[in-house]
Amino acid sequence: MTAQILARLAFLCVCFLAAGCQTYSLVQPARVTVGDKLSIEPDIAWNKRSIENAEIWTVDGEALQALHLYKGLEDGDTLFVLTNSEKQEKMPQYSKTMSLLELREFIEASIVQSGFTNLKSLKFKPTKFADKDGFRFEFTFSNTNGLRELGFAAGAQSGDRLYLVLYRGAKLHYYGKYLKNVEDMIRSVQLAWASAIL
Amino acid sequence: MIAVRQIGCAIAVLGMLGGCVTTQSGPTYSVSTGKPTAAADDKLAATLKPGAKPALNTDDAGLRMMYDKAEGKFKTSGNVVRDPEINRYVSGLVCKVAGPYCADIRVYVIRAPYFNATMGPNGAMQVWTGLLLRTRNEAQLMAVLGHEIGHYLRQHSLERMRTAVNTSNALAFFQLATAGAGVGIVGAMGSLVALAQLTAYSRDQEREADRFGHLFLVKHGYDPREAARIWGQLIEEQDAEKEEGEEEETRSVFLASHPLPDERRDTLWELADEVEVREKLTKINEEVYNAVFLPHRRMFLRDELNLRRFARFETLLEMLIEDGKQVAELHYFRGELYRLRNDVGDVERAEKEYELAVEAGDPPGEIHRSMGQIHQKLGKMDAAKGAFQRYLKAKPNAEDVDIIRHIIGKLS
Ligand SMILES: [Zn+2]
Repeated sequence: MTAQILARLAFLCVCFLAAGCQTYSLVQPARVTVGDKLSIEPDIAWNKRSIENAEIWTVDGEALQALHLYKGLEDGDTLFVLTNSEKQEKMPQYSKTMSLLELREFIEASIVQSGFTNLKSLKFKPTKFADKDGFRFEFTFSNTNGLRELGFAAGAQSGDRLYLVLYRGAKLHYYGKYLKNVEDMIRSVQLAWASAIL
Repeated sequence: MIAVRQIGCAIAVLGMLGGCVTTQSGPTYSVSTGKPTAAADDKLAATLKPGAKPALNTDDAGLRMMYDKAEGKFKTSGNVVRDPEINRYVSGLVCKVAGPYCADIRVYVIRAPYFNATMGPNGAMQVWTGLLLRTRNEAQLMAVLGHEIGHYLRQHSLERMRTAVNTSNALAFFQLATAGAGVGIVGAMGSLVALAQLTAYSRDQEREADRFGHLFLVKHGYDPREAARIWGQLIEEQDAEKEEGEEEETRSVFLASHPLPDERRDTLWELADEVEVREKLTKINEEVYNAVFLPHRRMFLRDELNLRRFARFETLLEMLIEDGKQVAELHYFRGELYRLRNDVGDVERAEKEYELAVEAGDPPGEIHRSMGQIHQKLGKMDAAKGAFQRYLKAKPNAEDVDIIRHIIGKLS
């Protein structure tokens, strides 16, 4: 073992420790707009970061609980964007012609393609989302460390887009911790062009 | 991913402590008796003693400790299949092969839809459900278990680590530990994969383990050709995938760094042909195997379908349908495959498979929901309504009855 290799190994360690870092900004409890149409009113403060087609909110860290707020999926969009391009190619794509049952299959397949396992569907119901006829379904799966997570997706199709909120968290404590806040927040969802609110 | 990070650091530290070590050339032990034996006379000689506990300041102890840590994490995870019958059966087979080493090995059945099995130097073994879906009888499963136990008895992980440290390939080796991390928002199989990737054995080690698998089959009276057949089956799946251009990087660690499947199949055939008493070795115990796993196959198939590796799945289903066991569920899943693939003509193909499933009798209740969807696609709204109603009757407590009622309402 040369000193050079040892140094590189030490560097690798530091990289691993730093890899989880993301830049977050604070969301205050007041109505905010996500994308151009969906607005929502949180009752507590969240940390948020933006990705291409969504914002991801968390209080305790994404590994423990995460709320994905989609700006409106359009034909060909995928629910998650993976860095591995081969895996990304296999990600199911949204289509505006999907039926309610197909929407569930789309979301479930996206979760499995992301590397989660032991997926099980739970309650699936019709429900209002904003003022639209929407759906809500719950699921459970094992995360990459084999820990059980709970989650649900609520959304509605409007125009040619799918508006969707996806909440997931560790079954032990963290999912339940802000479930009520998330439920209340989803009841506050409005779908309108930003200018129409002003 | 946290687990991966820790394993990575643990290895780095271990590597720093490693220092100079010699490759192994110590005493050998009989796998039948656990007593010292001459390696030259005993093809199944182990390099470690049953119940052996390496001294704490050795690299062996360090390596085992790392795996113990990872085992502590995954053994409580939601991915471990807890079904007592499956566990009793697989552990029983492991003990049969491992003999005096039985108490040193702990086997975990992991719910993951890939053809994979792993063995840690600490005696923690994993068998994935994607493998159990593909092995067709006890002899095939025994061949895999024997192979993994071969890795353990010959201390391949330790040998591998020492080679890596000594040849300053350390960095490449240690990076294996992290290869499973960082795939988009979730990573691959996290610590499970990281752990498995640590056991990326050399080709020669794989060949040695295959020979162990073969010898164990012969020793216990199983048909040794079954070891070769496993590979024949996998090659069919891989060929289908290549043809469809669906080939993805091989996620199965069991295959990744290994000799090519063709080579393994051919070598195992040759080994089987050389066995003098081969005609007497006919045991495959298909019935016992099926009694344990068929009741759970639907879950394994569902996981496989969710991966949407359509070409592979189609080939696998075809082989299983040929076997003729519980074909209703197989036709149902083939229908699901076509419905989800949704290529030209797939709606009609799906419809036909669902019909075959119903004809075969006792298909999964979900078939009516799927038929409803297909009828809807074909514009047959009355038929769709009828199918959804049959679904409600078949699965009155299903998790989605509310949405199905809502859909029926819209169809009216
Ligand atoms: Zn192997």
